[in-house]
Amino acid sequence: MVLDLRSWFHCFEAHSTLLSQKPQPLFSPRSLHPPHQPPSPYAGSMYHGSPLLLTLLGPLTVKRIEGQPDHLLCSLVFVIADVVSAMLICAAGEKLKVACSSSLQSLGLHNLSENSERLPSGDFAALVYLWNPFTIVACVGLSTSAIENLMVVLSLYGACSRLAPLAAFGWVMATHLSLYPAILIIPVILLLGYGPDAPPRKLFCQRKNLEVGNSTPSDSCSEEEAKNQLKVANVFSWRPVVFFLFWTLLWSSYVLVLCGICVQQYGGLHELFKRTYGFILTTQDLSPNIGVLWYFFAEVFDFFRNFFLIVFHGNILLMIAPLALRLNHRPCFLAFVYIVISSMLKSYPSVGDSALYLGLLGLFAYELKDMQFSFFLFSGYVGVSLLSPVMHNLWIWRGTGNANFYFATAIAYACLQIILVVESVSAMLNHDRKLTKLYTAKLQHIKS
Amino acid sequence: MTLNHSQRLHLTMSTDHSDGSRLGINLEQTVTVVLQPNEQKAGMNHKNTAKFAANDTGPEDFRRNAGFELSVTSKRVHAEMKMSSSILPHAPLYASRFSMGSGNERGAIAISLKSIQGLVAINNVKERLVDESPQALTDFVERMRVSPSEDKVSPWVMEMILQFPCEMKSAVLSIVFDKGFLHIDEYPPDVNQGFDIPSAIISFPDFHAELLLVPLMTPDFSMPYNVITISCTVFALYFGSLLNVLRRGGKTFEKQRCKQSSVPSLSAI
Repeated sequence: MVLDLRSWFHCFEAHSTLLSQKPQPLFSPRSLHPPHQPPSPYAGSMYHGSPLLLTLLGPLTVKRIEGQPDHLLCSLVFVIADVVSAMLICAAGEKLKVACSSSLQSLGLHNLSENSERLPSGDFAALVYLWNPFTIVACVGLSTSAIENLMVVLSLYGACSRLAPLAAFGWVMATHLSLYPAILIIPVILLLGYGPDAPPRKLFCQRKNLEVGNSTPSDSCSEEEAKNQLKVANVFSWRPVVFFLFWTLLWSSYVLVLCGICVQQYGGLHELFKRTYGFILTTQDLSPNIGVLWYFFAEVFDFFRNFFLIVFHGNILLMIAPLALRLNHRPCFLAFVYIVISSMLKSYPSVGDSALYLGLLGLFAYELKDMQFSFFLFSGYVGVSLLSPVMHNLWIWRGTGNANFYFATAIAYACLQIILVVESVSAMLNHDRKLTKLYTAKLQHIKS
Repeated sequence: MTLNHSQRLHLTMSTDHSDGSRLGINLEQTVTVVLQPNEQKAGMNHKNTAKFAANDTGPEDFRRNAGFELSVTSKRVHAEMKMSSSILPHAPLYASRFSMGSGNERGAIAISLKSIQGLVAINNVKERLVDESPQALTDFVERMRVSPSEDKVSPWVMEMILQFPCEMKSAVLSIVFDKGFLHIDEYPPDVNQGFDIPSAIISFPDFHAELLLVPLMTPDFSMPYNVITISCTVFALYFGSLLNVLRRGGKTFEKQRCKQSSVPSLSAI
C-alpha cells in the first residue's frame, strides 16, 4: 500500500508536460503489512491537488483488470469527463443561440437573426473540443485537467440555464480543484443577472425610448409583448444572483467540511491550503512545461522573486475590471476571455487548458467570423504543437539542444495566445459595433 | 551544507594477488569527503550527508567494491557491471548499484545483489532484465518503509528487509524516479557532472554500494537577463494590446455621443 501511493501521485501532478508519459513501475507489492495509518498525501512534494479528487480517483489507479493496460479505469473517468464536457458545451451553445436569436428579433434585425440561427455553433464547439488533439493528449497523459474543464463548463452551463445550484456547484468545485476559475464568478453573476450574451444594452434603451415616443393605440398586443421583452432583456435580476451566492456558500461549506475530514490527521485545512493554493501561488515546482514561468523563476534572482510573483499573478487580476466593464453584455464571451488569460498566465499551464478555450471558441463562431489572423493562429498552434515535443526531445533526451530551444517554443506559444485573445476581443467589439451601426441605420429609416 | 569531495584512482600491475591469481590489476580508489556543518544553507535535493561512505584507508581494505565504469559522455551515466578482481572473501553477497535510463527527465536506480558462489561475468544488466521477467516482490520483502522526499528539504529514503532463499543467484531491485528542475542558484559549480546520490546501505555484513552521479536537466546559466527581458516583453505585449483593444471602442462611443447630443439641438431649432 505504501508504494501504491507513488502510482497515485504520478496521476495527480498539478501540471503535465506535453510529453507526459507515465513510467511503469517494475514492481507493485500488494500483500505487505500495512502501516498503522497511511501517510499524508501531502508528505513530500508529489501531490498538490484536491484530497477529494484523490479519494475518488485514487482507488481507480490501483485497480487492475487482467489483460488490460494499467490505469484503464482512471483513463475511462477522464474520457467520460471529456464527453460530458462536450455535451454541456453543446447544450450551452444551444441556449446561447436561442438567446441571441431572440435578442436580434426584438431589435428587429431579422436577417442577422436568421443567419445566426442557421449556424450550429453548439455542435461545432462540442466537436472542436472532442476532436482537439490537445484534449486527446491531455487524456492520454492522464492529466486531471479534464475534470477541471468539466467543472468550469458545468458552471457556465448552469449559469446559461439560470440554474443557480448547478452553477454554484461547478464554480465551487472548479475553484477548489485549481485556484484560477475563481475569477469566473464575475461572468457567472452577469449570466445569472442579465442572461446570456446579447447585443449592447444601449440599443435596447434606444428601442425603449423609441417605443415610448411612438406608442400608438393600434396593435397593442404586440406592443405589450415587445415592452415585456425589453423589460426582461434590460433589467438586472438580483434573485438568481442571491440564489447563486447562497448555494455558493452552501457548497463551499460542504467542500471545506469534507476536506477537513480528509486531512484532519495531516495538519488540517492550513496544511491543505499551503500544499494546494500555496503551491500554485508561490510557483515552487520549476519543471519545464509549455508556459514561460518555469524558466523565468529558474533564472530570476532570489531577491526579486517575490516581486515578480506579485506582478505575474497581479496581471490576471488587472485585466478583470476593464474586460468586465467593456464586455458585460456578453458574459459567456467574457468567461471565455478569462479562461484564455488564466490558462496563459497560470503557474503550471498545460495543453488541457488550451483544449478548453479552443472548444469554447467554437461557441462564438458566428460573431468572430471576421477575426483577423485566423490562418496564422491555426498554423501557429499546429507549428508549436509539433515543435514543442521536438525541442523537448532535443534538450532532455538527445542532449544536442538547450533549455532555450524549449523556452523559445514556450514564448511562441504565449505570443499565439496573446494574439488569439486580443483578436477575438477586437472581433467581438467590431461585431457589436456593426450591430449598433445597423440598428442606427434602421432607426434613421423608421424616423424618415 | 557545502560538500567537497574528490576521487583518486590508482591502477598498478600486480603479480601477487590475494585470491591467488597470477596476473591482475590492482585498483585502489580513494574518496575524500570534506563536510562543513557550519553553513546553514539548505541542502540540495536527494542529499543526505549523514550516510556518506567512509574513506578507503589502505590497499589492504577490501570491504568496498569498485564495480564502476568511467563514462566519456558526462551528460549521462551508463554504468555497467564489470568483473572485479577485488572479490570479497567474507561477504556472501556482492552488491552493486547503478543508474538506468537515458535522458534527463526520468531514470531509475537499480541495486544488484549477487551471490559469490554463482558469480558470472555479466556486462549488461539491462540484458539480464530482459532474460528474466521481474518477479513479484511479495515473496522476498518482509517489511518496507518509505519516507517520501520533500523538495530541497529531505531525501527519498526507502528501507526494506529482504529475505532471499539460499539458492538465489542474483536479484535486482530498481526504483523509478522523476528528475527535478532547480533554480539557477541550486546547481553545483560543475553541473554536467550530475548530482550525488548517497550510497545505499546494506546491513548484512555492513558494506555499502557505490556512490552514484545522476545528471539533471540544466537551464542555460548565461540567460537570466535574456529570460527576464523576453518574458516581461511578452507580458507587456499582452497587457498593452488587450488594453488598447478595449480602449479603442470607447472613442467611437464618444463620437456617437457627440453626434447624439447634436440631434436635440437640431430638433429644438
